[in-house]
Amino acid sequence: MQNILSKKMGVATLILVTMFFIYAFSLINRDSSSPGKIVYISPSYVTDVSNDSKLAGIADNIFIGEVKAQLGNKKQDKVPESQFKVEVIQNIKGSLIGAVTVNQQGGNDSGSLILVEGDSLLEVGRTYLFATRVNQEQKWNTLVPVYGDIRVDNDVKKNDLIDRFTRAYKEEIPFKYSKGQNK
Amino acid sequence: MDVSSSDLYSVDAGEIRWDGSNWYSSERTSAISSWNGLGTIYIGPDTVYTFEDLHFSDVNRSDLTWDGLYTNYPVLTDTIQVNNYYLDKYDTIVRTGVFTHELGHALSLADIYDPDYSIYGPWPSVMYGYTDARPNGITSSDIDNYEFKW
Repeated sequence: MQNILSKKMGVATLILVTMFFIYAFSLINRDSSSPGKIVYISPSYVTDVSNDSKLAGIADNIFIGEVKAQLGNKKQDKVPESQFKVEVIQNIKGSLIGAVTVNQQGGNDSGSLILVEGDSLLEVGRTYLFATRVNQEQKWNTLVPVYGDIRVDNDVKKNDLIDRFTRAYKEEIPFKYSKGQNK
Repeated sequence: MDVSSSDLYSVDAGEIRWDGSNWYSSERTSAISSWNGLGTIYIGPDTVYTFEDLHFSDVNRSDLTWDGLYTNYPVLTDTIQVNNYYLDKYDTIVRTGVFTHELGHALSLADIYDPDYSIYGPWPSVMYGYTDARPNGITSSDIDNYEFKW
């Protein structure tokens, strides 16, 4: 009798262990296209940052700068953030001087590259037009994803971007907090 | 053309079980109720008998230009973060809209960017990507996309 009971216990334990591994396997594979790939995060932007004038309105600083080095990677509020040393080449809005720290939401975390949808991680040695907002506590300038890190490939593009965002700054639309409307 | 469906979502066996906390919990509850009103997918709190699919939390950051953020992790629990720096200055309707938008992602609905209204016309969808230019509740196009997916 005792033998039959222990056999039953053994079978039950085996079934439970098998079910656990099947569930764990399904969790690992749940809605993932492939392991170790890019994980995109989907932001709800507070305003239409694809509009240059609105982007200029919400940015504290707009400038051309060259990425000199990656300084670090901090996981803030669950999302990895990457910090870069950027040499300011020309201010368009604001008055940054010399080397500043630019922070980008995104970076490597647990074998995956986390990025805001449509964005790419900054590359050392590349020049960008940056639109940023200041974080006084961290002493860094967080870029606006996608629209606030435009790669500058040559002088023609640089001059075009300077003209475009100088005009946008002149016509900036300051950010206003939304109030509920039945749109 | 289905422009507003994504393969990345938090639905697991026909439901989304959530945990976590938010300062604006009543707005979160309203947003969950409005999606649950569509019927197919149940969004409910995590229990000892379920596994957490989605975790809510708050941030308070003035240097970020988003008020809500959905992250779909391949293995870990997906997350919805709301940025109280902005939510504190919104009214209840807009705050509820932020939660409704992010829960739309958890239900597989993708962002819509249509700044000149050429695709959907004005104020087409709660999945519009910019808070200051979208409806704050579920619209008929959201229902169509939800029903197409589920």
